[in-house]
Amino acid sequence: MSHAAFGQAGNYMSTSEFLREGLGGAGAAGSFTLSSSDQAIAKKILGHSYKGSRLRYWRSGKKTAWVLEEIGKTRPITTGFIIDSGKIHMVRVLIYRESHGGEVKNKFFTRQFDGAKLGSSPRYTLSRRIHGISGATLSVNALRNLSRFALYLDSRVKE
Amino acid sequence: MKSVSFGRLRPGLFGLVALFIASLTPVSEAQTNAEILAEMGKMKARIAELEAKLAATQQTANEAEEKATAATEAVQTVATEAIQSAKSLEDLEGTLPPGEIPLAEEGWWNRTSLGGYGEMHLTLGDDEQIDFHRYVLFINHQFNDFIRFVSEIELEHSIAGDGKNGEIELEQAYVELDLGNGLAARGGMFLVPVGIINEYHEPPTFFGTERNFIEREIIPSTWWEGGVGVNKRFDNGLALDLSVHSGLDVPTSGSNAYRIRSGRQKVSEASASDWATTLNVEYNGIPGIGVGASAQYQSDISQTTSSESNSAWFTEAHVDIQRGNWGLRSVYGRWDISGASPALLGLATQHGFYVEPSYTFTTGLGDLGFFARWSKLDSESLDSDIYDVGLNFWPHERVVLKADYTKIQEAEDDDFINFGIGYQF
Repeated sequence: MSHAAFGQAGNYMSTSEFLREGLGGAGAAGSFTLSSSDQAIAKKILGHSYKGSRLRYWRSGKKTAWVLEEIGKTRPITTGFIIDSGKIHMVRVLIYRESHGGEVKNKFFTRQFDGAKLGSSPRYTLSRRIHGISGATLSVNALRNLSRFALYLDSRVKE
Repeated sequence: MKSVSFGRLRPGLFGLVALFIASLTPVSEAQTNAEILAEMGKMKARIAELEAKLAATQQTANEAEEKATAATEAVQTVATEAIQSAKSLEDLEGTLPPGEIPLAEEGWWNRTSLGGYGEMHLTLGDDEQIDFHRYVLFINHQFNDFIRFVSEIELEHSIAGDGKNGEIELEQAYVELDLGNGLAARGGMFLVPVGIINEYHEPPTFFGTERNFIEREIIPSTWWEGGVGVNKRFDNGLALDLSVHSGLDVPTSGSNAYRIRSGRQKVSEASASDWATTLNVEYNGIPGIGVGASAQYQSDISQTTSSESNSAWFTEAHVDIQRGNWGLRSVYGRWDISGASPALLGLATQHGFYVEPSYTFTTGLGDLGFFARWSKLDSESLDSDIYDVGLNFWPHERVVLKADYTKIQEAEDDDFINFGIGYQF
């Protein structure tokens, strides 16, 4: 793909800033333990099981907040997701570690996710198309997959 | 365990006891059996009435206790959440998100990442050949939050050495500094930021087994130089890059005279008497649409090969669109070289473009994409129209299988079929 600018790594937002923006505060902290069946779904969504088995999340009313990581090209992208009533309310890239492809942190990209939910057929797909960024294919795919996983996790803690 | 308040039951119990005592009183001789039976009937009725009252009282007590328990639990939950909430926010202040290890607590290996890509090609035509064209490793290291090292080392054609087809090349090795506010600087050896393929050439990212001719002859990918650069990116998707770096040193005689691709020095004891300056502008503010342009000037691209000064301007523009299943890539590049010799050879202007529409969709086994490409090239090595059609199949987003047909239309047409397998990680 074509260009993205070099020198795009950086810490863009702390977790507490993300929670303040997304939940209006820290919300109620909780943890969710991934079962073997959850990891099987993670493999379908991410192509691999999620690292670790215990995930921290935050809750406020119908909203849940998740901070997840997935490898872009060679390094993990730390991304925060706010899910509200089964739909993506907000996506923010907290840390981007690659030298190229950092456009995925910009709101012109992340706002595409707002309102997306999990489709039913096929399962665990996003209900809307997310257009990519030229030169950032792997980073875009990482965020697409993480958003699906965040929606799945939200549905699990609300069961 | 549920309990019943004794106070609430006291009147009913007293009544029962009184009746029981009364029942033990000796029966008057004057009482007839009928009177005794009537008295016993009254007592039974009274007992049933008291039992009903007792049951009702117990139910009320149970309900009251359940409500009290629920209220207590609710208060405890709210209190716990409030404490957790306060703690989580407090804990998060000044700490790193999950996965981020404080520098002081980690080894260098946590800051070093490994990646790579590779591709093998099979060509069928007049010259049938199989070649593991590229085996590449990326090794990057993060010194701290704002200084990192990026490198790429490549083995071409699988074997290197005297008399061998291949070579080992260091294609990137630079240090990059984030200066804040979207500004970054780098120094070392880096890919010249022009066109599409030169910076992004991992096999799963492009159509066609071989790279297109425009970005081989006009933009001599892979093209790297040594120097310094600054980059500014804006939140609206606009990015500017200005680099000052080593330049070309093209041959001026022989079969490759003024061939751009032959002028790459690869930063190997390279002549540095005439530097080049490259400006690149990119806009990615609309998801799925990338557009960009570059310009480069070098005061003499025949630094050591000719006494004649051959200043050169290079300009290019490109577009890379992927909206839905449809894709479109196009690049136009042009060299304008001054001096009598290139003019005499008809190589003062070398230019070309390609247009590449594609259609990609998901199958049960992976993504499948079809493409067609028309290239028009006027360069030292080729002056022709080139047509490609083919497909890419991605069983995984980082693995690709390719098949395509290429026809080069010139005085003597040439055509061949390519098959390729590529990966990146």
